[in-house]
Amino acid sequence: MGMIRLIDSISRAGHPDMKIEILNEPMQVRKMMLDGSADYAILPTTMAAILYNKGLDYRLIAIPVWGTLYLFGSDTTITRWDDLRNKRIYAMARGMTPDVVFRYLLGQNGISPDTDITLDYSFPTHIDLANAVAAGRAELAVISEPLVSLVMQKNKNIRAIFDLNLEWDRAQGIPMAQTAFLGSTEMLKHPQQAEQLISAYERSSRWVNQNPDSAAALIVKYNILPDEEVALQSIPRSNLDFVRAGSIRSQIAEYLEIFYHMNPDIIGGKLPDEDFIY
Amino acid sequence: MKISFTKKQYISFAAIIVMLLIWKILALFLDSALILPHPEDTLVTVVKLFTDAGFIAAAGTTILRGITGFIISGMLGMAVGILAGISPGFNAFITPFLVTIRSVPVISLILLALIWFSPNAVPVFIAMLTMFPFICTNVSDGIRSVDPELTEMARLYRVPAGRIISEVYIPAIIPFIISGASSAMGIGWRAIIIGEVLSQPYYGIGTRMQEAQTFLNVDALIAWTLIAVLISYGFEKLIRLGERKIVVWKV
Repeated sequence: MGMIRLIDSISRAGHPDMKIEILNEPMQVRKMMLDGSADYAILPTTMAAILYNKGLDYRLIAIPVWGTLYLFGSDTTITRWDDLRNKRIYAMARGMTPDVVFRYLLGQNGISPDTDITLDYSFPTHIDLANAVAAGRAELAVISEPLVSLVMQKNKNIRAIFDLNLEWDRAQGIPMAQTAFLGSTEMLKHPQQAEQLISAYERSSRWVNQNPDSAAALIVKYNILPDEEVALQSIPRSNLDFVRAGSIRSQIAEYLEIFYHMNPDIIGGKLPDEDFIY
Repeated sequence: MKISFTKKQYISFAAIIVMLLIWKILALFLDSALILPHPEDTLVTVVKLFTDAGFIAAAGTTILRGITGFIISGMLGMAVGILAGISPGFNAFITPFLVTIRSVPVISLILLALIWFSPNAVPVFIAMLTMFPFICTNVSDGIRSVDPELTEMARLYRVPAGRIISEVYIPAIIPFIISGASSAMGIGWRAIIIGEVLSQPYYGIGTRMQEAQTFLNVDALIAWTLIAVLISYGFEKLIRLGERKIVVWKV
């Protein structure tokens, strides 16, 4: 969503050599990186670390999004973390960012993710899970924006229970570097052209935060969301803030280290080396 | 015990070598552990998995699910199959059910089961539904294969019903049950693992496969696949062994 103005200007200028694809699931983006068809990509930072550690030629340019995860649902009894005990909570696929972030926060709040609650992965994609919550078949779920806003508009009984980004901030003292903007080493070999795109994205992201109304209109125009109202609600909840990776090396390392201690496989077996960051 | 190989076993052995060679050549050609790891590396991963703390729980749970599904579908399949074999009317009634269950894509069943059941029950349910039609059809075919003149004659000579069943019907349907069981199991394992991948129960081979896929551990993904193949092969052998025992007992 932070990119929307960039998308708009590219589409109006009619660049035939540029194409921006917005996909529903991180796995689809990963596939395009595995076969090298993506020059730039946005996907969860943990997945970016896996790809880098497995030897793919992509580097981390920036963290454009700082946490889009919420625990939400129709259960009205929950006000504190302890209220989650013995509840069934749905998360998208095991090992993906929503799952591991939530598990970490549970642990920080003294709740064992394996014995005190039931984590259910029956709805394997973001969309499946969002539909299940909207239909009232999942009372509590961990899910990402903009689906949180979309579901809450469809079903008025659903409310955001915990802002996991805020909870993370509270536990760690720094916001979570959840989403990564990556570029292929091939593209980054031409720093001037690369810089044009990077700074255009940076400006676009700032513009979206400053002009949420116009941004919401564009988000609907490009079919990212069906409804301006939803887009307008989702923008502030998405924590858009384009920060270049080079200026926050230690924050990124800290973020990845947390997952490394949970299970090294989450970030591809080891902490990525210095070259990961552009 | 003297170990000797028949010609057939030599050929099977050669086929396995050829498979490994094709794998090795492809791995050399693709030259990326991300796409296709080398067979020897994968073998190391398999060995490592065996010693892994969670291995017994994952593989054991999957096997338990398979056995549970097999027993339930076996009992149901035999009961319905015997009725269908004896009564042509019931057979005509039950056939559309069986055809429907068999033609529904397994993935549709799984997607529905994900909505209906808890993650632990999904794979068992899928295994049951995929195995049931095989066993049922084979049992009823077995009963119908019994020579009607033989039973007619037995009845004429006032042979007790118990003896007709134990000496005419059971021997006739055993081979059918065995072949039904073996094809049911072959399909059943695959269905269970797909169910586990999608429903993500806490333990299970499918859960571990999905995890390996998420973390791009392609070697672990293939290693679990090999383990699944071994389990399926082991049970196939077990069923054949059971068949030989029963045949010996019959003679």
